[in-house]
Order: sequence, then C-alpha cells, then structure tokens
Amino acid sequence: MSVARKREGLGFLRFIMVLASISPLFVLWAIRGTCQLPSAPCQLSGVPSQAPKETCLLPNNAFLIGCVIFIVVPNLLLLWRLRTAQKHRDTREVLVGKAEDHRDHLLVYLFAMLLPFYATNLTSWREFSATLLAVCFIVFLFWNCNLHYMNVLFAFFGYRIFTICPPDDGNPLSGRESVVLITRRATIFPGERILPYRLSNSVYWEVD
Amino acid sequence: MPLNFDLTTIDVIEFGVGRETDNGAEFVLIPTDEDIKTALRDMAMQTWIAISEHEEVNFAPAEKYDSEENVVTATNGEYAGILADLHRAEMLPIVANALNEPEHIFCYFARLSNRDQRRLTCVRRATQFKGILKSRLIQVITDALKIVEERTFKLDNDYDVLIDDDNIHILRAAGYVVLSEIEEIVMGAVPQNVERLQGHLPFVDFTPILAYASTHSRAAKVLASICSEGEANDVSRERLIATCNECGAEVEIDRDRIRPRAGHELNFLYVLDRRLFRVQLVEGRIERYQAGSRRPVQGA
Repeated sequence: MSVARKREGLGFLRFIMVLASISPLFVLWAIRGTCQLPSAPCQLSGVPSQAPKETCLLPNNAFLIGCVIFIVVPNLLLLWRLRTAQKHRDTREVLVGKAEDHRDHLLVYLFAMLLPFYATNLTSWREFSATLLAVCFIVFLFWNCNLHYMNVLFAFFGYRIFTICPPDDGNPLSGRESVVLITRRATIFPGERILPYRLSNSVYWEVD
Repeated sequence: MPLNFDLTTIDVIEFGVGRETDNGAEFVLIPTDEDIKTALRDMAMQTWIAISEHEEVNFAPAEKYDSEENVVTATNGEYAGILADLHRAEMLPIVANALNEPEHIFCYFARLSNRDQRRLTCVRRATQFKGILKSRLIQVITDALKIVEERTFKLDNDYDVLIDDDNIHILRAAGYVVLSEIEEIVMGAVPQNVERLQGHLPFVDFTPILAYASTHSRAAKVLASICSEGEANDVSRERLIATCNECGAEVEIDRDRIRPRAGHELNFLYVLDRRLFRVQLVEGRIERYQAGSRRPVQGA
C-alpha cells in the first residue's frame, strides 16, 4: 500500500522566505558593487598622470537594481504570505511540551551567510560565479533544512524564534515533529496552548 | 447530554483525513481556506441539530440502531476506541497532499477549538471518496450538464459523530461502529467480559460461550453489551433457567451449574441481554422472537 508521503509543502514559498532571509547580503552587495579601483600607475617623469578608472564587472545601476529586486520582492511575498494566513485564519493549535529559545541560530546565520559573502570580491567573472554558486548551495541547504524562518526583519520588529516540541502524551496519533514559532513572547512555558498562524508546515507566527 | 462545546466561539478549525497506511490508521491535517472552515463549522452545527431531534440512548455494541439517532457513549469509555485518541491527539502532522490518493482515505474530520481549551472533534466516514472514483459526477456548468472527470472532494451536510471532552455524540451509529473499530474492541475483550460475567453468575459454565464468542462477532457484541449495561447483576439461577426454557434457549444442567447446549450459545446470551422474548396472543400458539433493538417501555 502506498500513500502520499508527508511533504514539507509550500516549497516555492519556503524558497522565497530563504531569499528574504538573505536580503541583508544583497544590501551589502548593493553598497559594495562589482567595481574595482585599479592599482596606482607608475609615475614616469615628463608623462602627465591620468586619473585611475574603475573597472566594473557589471554596470553599477543594473547590479543595484538586481540587488534591490532581491531585497524587496522576497520580503513583499513574505508579507503577502503573512496577510494571507491571517485572512484565511490559517491557524494551528500548538501545545507546548518544551520550548527552546533559538537565538543561537542567528549566529549560524551570521557565520554561514553574511560574513563569508561580505568579504567576497565580486570583481571578476570567475569569483562572481563561484560566489553565486556558493549562495545557491547555502540557499538550498537553508531551504532543505527548513531554516527559512531566519530573517533579520523578524528580529528588527522584536520577534524571537522558539522551537516548540510537542508533549509526549502517550497518544499514538499525536504529532512528534517540532515546529518553529516566531513570537514576541519572552518565555513560553510547557503546557501552554498557542494559536499561531501557519507560514509553512514547520514555521508559525504568533500575532500579539 | 448537552454538548460540552460552544459552537459560537470557535478560534481554530482544523481539517484532516484518516487514511490507511502500511503501519495502520493515520490521521493527518490538510490546510484549508476560510470558506471550507465555514462549511466545516456549519456541518457541526447541522449535526448537533440533527442529533438533538432524537431521544438520547446509551451506546451498546449489540444494539441495532436506526440510520440516524442520538446515541451517546463516554469519551473515556471502553467503546471510544481510536476516535478518543483522535480527539485528544495534539499537533497532528500536516500532509497537504493527503487527498491525492483518496482510495486510502476512510474518514475525514474537523477539529474545532476555542481559547478556553475546549475541543470538538467531528468525524464523517468517507464512503463518498470511493463512490466518486467509481462513478462519474455530473455538475451544472453554465446551463448544461457536464461530466466532471477530475477527482472531486465532496463535503457532506453533516458528520456521523461529534466528540467533546466528556461524550461521543453519535448521529449515525453504523458509521461510528466502523470508525471506532467496535468489532475489534469487543472481540479482543471477550476473555475479560467472560471473566466479569462469571463473577456475577457463578452458577453458569461459560466455557462454551468463551469458545463461541471468540469466533463470532455478534456473540462478542452481545457479551460486551451485557457487561457494560450491568445486565448480569443479581440474576437468579431459577429465573434464568425458566426464561431460557420459555424463550427456546436450550440449556444443560450439570449438578449446580448450567450451560447452553451446543448451538444455543447466542440464544443464551440473548436471554441475558433481554433480546429473546415470548408472546402468546393466540390461544394455543406460543411465539418466540428475537429483538435486534430494544428500549425500556416508557412509563412501565
């Protein structure tokens, strides 16, 4: 007997949420650009020196627009998902067995995403394509590991990230999988019932 | 029995299906939009209205019920089965594509919750799915009837069962018996039920009944009904022998113990469950009947 296997679902939305989570990287890239200042030319006596010219891998404006699109569009889609979940009352009753504050995941995010790529030089095609490929790998891993809840905007608006494990109630039908809760609560106690909105099957958002 | 849930203050409505897997029955949630949630809530209201129209009776496994009734059994009771587990289950897994293989789905359900931590679980046996796959649906599209080829999920007007924290309110007992796997429950409980009866009726030899009920589900159901209704309490040996003789349930009397004759085990159980009776309305003609369903006579 074969039945439809449990799939995480909302794959595209999770991809968009991962893109939204790396939007600070695009901000940094937009500021840095892909231009490189040439090294200072040798001064020859009697020859008037020319001002050094920037060499750009991509036109500055095009690169800037590309970065802005990658900053704005995923976050708008995330906002649209939040509104849709509210509109459809797409809620789920979450009973807390154990709640863990996972602020340390932000460090993972910082080390995996921002710091390595911030230092990358995008001035040659080879480096640019290698960096893009590395970003694709990271995006896939974040998507596959359901780390799409990491978003600086959540932290900016005062939200915290909790991992909620269901209680072990001995009921053979109860779910065993933990979920991620984005909430403004400072603490969550075992036994609490929360009615958050569903962003994906593993990430939930509690409105005040 | 009033419904222990306020249908006007619902905070969360979850929809899901029960499906058969290699590992047995599995219940999963499927995300729905606002319109379906409203329909699920309306179905619950409709079900409660339909249940309230009937006189309430307690559930007994041996009883034959009408197509729609108001049957009640305790959520913590011995006949709640897997539906009680479903009602109490927390954070059921979400499988959005669970409807892709409707032939494995045996029921669908809605779980209604509110902030005062009360929950109502509403279950409907999914006979529709298989029917839909075998037959073709017709639907009015524009002004012409059109064959709908694709698989269609159809919600009913009401549920078979409503489960609150205290009671299971059953509208369609036939659906409940299948969903709750009553047959498996009573078959598994035969040795314990025989032991319980033996305690109340020490003058009966239950050896042939144990052997018979272990292989006949009807006898197992009657046995379970006798136990759960306390019908074996204070039964007199002489009255039992006399009633068996009157109703045609043949028994053997061996010293101080009585036992049903081979082939009369079920009739003997029917006597204990008050389902065999004798009437004589015509002079010289005694009629004996067996009651599939019986209720106490009002006012008697």
